[in-house]
This record gives sequence, C-alpha cells and structure tokens, in this order.
Amino acid sequence: MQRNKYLVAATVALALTSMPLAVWAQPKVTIAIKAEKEVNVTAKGKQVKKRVAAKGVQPGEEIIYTLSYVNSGTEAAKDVVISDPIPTGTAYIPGSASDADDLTFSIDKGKSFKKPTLLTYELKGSGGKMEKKVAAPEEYTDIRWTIPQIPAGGKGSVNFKVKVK
Amino acid sequence: MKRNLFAALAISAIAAAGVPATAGASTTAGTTILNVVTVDYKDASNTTSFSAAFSTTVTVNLVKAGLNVSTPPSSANYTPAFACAPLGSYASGGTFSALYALTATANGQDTYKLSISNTATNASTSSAAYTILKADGTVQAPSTSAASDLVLNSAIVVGTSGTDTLLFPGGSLKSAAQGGFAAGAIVVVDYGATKTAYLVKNVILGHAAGYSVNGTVASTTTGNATTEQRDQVQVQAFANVNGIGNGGTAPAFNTTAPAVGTVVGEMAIVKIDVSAVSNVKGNDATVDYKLTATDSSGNNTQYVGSAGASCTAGNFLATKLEILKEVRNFTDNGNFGATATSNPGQVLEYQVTVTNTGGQAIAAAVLDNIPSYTKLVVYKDGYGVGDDTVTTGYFAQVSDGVNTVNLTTDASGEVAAQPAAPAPAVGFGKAAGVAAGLPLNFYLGQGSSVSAGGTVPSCSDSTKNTQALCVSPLKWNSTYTIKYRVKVD
Repeated sequence: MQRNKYLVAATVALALTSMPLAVWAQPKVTIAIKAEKEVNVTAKGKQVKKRVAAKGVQPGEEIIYTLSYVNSGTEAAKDVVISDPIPTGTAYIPGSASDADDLTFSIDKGKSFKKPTLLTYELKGSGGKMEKKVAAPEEYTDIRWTIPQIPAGGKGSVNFKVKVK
Repeated sequence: MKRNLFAALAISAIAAAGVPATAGASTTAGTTILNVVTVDYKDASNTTSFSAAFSTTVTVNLVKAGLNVSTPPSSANYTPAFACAPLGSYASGGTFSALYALTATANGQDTYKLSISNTATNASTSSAAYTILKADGTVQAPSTSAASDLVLNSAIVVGTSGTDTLLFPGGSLKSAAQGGFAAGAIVVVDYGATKTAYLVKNVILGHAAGYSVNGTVASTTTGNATTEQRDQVQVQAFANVNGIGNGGTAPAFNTTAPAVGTVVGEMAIVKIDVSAVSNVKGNDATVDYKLTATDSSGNNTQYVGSAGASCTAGNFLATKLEILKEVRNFTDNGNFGATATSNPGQVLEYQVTVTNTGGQAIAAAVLDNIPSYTKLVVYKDGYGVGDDTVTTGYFAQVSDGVNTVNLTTDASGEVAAQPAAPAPAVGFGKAAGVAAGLPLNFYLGQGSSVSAGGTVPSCSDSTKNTQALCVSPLKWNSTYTIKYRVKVD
C-alpha cells in the first residue's frame, strides 16, 4: 500500500511535469547583427584581408552585416521573415546579399518587396513621356529574406554589404 | 506569372510617386549608421506570430582633407581661386597686409596647423605674422609668427529646411563647447559650379536615431526606436563689414538649395602682415612670405603661395635722403644758388634742403659748421626778428613743408613751438656759439628731440607709409628745409 502511494505520487508528478510541455512547446527565434569591415593585414609576408568589427568607418568603405538567427525553442518556426532596412547613409552593394533563401528587396521603404528585376519606377524621360526604370541597387531601401522553416535548435545566418556614402 | 506581373505593376505605381534620391558623395564624420533587423515568424500551427529585433551602430570617421586657400569671397556665387595679393611699395619698416580665406573641405571638424615663413632681400630685419579674423574684421586669434592650431568645421548636407536652414545627420556635428559651428562663423555652401558664403545665425543640435535592443546578446524581443533629430545650422547673408568679405546674398534654400551630399565648410579669414627694414643704400628690400596650413594627418598641406613658391609682399623702399646746400646774399636780397658774392659786413643766408626720395629715414641729423670768415647771426625775438647783435637767441629756422619752427642756440626755445599730430615734431637745433668753425646741429623729423634726430618719412604723414595711402594734401617724398644766416667779417 505504501509502495502504491509512492507510485501514485510519482505518476501525478510525471503528469504535472509532462503537461506543460504540451502547452509551452513553441518556437523561440533570437536575432543578432554583426557589423564588420575588411582590412588588409600582412601575415607571414603576405597581404591578406581580415574582417574586423566595424566601430568606425570612412565614407566609401564597405560594411559587412551578418544577421544570425537561432531557434532555441522547442518546435519549428515557420514563415520566418528577416527584414532589414538598408541603413541611412549607406547604399546596398549589388549582389552582396546571401541568396540561399528567398531574397527580395524594396524601393519604397518596406511597403512592398520584389526580386531586383521587378523593382521598377517611372520617371519622366527626355521626350516628356513617363519611362519605366529598373531600380539601381543603391536605390534599394530594404532587404528581406524569407525562410520557410527553422527547425527547433536550427540556426543560420544571412549577410549583405553596404557602402558608406 | 500573371500574379507576378500585377505585383510588378503595383510596385511601379507606389514607387512612381517618389523617385529614389541618388546617392550622395559622402557622409559627415560622427554620423551614426543604425541598422535594425527584425525577424517575424509563426509557430508550427501557424496560429501565433512572434517578432524579435536587434540593432547595431557604426560611426562614420573623419576623412581628413586639405584646406581650400583662396581670396576672400567678394560676391554671391563666387568660384574660389587663389592669387597672391597685389604687390605694393612700402616705406622701410612699413607693413604690407593682405587677406586670404581658408575653407575646410573635409567631412567633419579637424584641427589644422598653421605656420608662416618669410625670406627677405636687402633687409636688416623682416617679419611675417598672421591673424585670424572674424567675419566683421575683429580679431579671433591674435597675430603670431609662430605655429598655431586652427579648428575648422565642415559637414555634408543631407537636406534643407525652410529658406535658411541646412540639415546634417543628427548627432554628427560638434557642440559649441567642442568648437563646432557657432553663430557668426562663415560657412561656404557648395552649389556645384559656384559657392556662396553665409554667416551662421543659429545652431540646433539634434541626435541620431536609436534602438533600445543592442549589445552582444542576441535578442528574442522587439525594442523601442528613437527617431533621428537632424542637426540644424541656420544661416544668413554674409554682409561686407570692414572690408573683410562679401557673401553677396541671403540664403533662399526654398528656391535654390545645395545638393544632398555636398560639403558645407567653415571659412577662416587670415590677415597676413609683412614688414621689413631695408638696409642696402639705394636698393629696396623685398620679402617673400608663405603661410602653410596642414590638416591633422600631416598629409594634406596647402599654402598661401604654393609648395614651391612664396608670395611677394612688394618693395620696402630703401632710404634715399638727398641733401642740397645753397646760399644767397640776404642783404642784397639775392636768390639761392650754388654760390653767392658778398661784401664784408653783408649777411649771407644758407639753405640746407633734405629730401626723402625713398623709404623712411630714422635718426635724421644734419651737422654743419659756421663758415670761415663769418659769424652766426642770432636774433633776439625770432628768426630774422628783433635785435641781431645778441649771442643767444634764435639762429635758424627748420620747415617740413607744412610747419616751420624757429630754433634757438641752446635748443630750448623750439620745444614749445613744435606742431601737434600728425607731425608731432619738425626739428630741433643748437649752436655751439657764433664764431666761425663752431658746429651747428640740426635734428630733423617726426619724433626728433633736442639731442636726437627723428623720422624723415616717405609721406608727410608718417602713418601713411605707402604711396597708395599718402594722398593729397599729404605729400610723398617729404622735404625738410633748414635756414641760417651769417655775417661776413
């Protein structure tokens, strides 16, 4: 009887600890940014490029932004969208964004995102007619990656470069 | 495919309303580049949405650059250009002065090193000094011939507000305590082909955009954004005060604004003073001067002059005193000439003329002697006036062409007779006695005394030490005349 009492208590305890698992299972994505720049250093008599933290930059220099994500939750995160406005005072460097995931850009401050070839706007041409122009990379205002799913415990990073005006 | 086409048209319509601005050329030092990334996602059941955000900042560094050296602005829409100030002729010991403008072209505040040098020819001494002036001509930094630091600001425009306010990235400009843009400073706004100088009227410093989630630990939450408040520099017309410069116009940024990405640089007006004392008889002194301005890197040097050449201040005129002695028979009322004839007992009058045909002469003294077989004629009441049989009293007369003073044998009588400014003294003299062979001393010029010569100036007003300043009724090449009389034994 005494043993049964302990068994009941253990069963209840197990039930109590297992119940929250079902309720709290959810994704938990953390995000971080690293700003770096490349500098030339001499190693073993050779000039090599090395990435260092970009605390200060000069106009014309490039900043490499690395956006790192981790799903530390207990279930997969779905329809993950990483959005990053191109920082004011910089211009996106064409082709620099990692293209592993669905990559789109905006030229209207994030209202709409499209692939680069579909980013167009109209401008009055020399003949007075409105002409459609494909946006230049330095005109991009936002960049966005869409990742269908990040499994629990999954992590990754995307990156892009800008040039300081 | 059809959906994509519609989407493309939709974005065209949105974007057509606001054509993206073209990229600027540069960014002000101290600008904070803020990057905020957001991640949005859903749970597996697709029912709950989550967001997290993170930010990082990067600061734009100073890109050092040399100053633009030019003549001061003289009108609106001027194109800065450098030329050495025109040459002139100055009295030996006089001062040549010229104004130049130094304008910052970097993307932020820097401290520039200034120094000046001079090379003189035919001079015993020479000097070159520079003074930093404010827009109204008052002194900002006192005259020096030593090296000194000059802090100048510059920044890159990101927009304008109203008719007169320039906008810069929030938090990028230095405060007044840090030597930043301040009311009264001259700033040069770049309009592309031309530039216009304005005066700073007011400065309002803002702050950079910010985001509360940052640091080294990755974020699982979103934070709060702080909107950027741009730094503002309000400007007004740079009017010509005391001949320093002239911006020529008031700002009207609502109709004509500087392009985004162009430089607004602070301008310093520098006055260069050069002086020399010529020391070679008949040869004027010349002085070459060069002001050197280097940024804090030491790599960008600009000159008033050039790397290989200086500017020339002009000619500091060598002293060229001419002296002429003439005589006439006073008793017979003869004319002055090289010679005269006289009977015993008649009175001769001598005239010594000292003319300055060059630079100013200092310590000008004339030594003469009572001629042989004569006695000096001394008058009791004035030169040529009163009893002429006395041995102490008035014996000579000296004139600078404007004022005339009678001289007494002991030099005491002419002290009170000297005129007041601008020619504070004509001359003094003394006679050792009346007998033949005794010396007659004459001390000429401004600042002369009973025992020492003064300045025989190039101009009748010695403060006007250039021919350009010595205008009528003042007279260039001043002439002093001494007269005394003797009786033939």
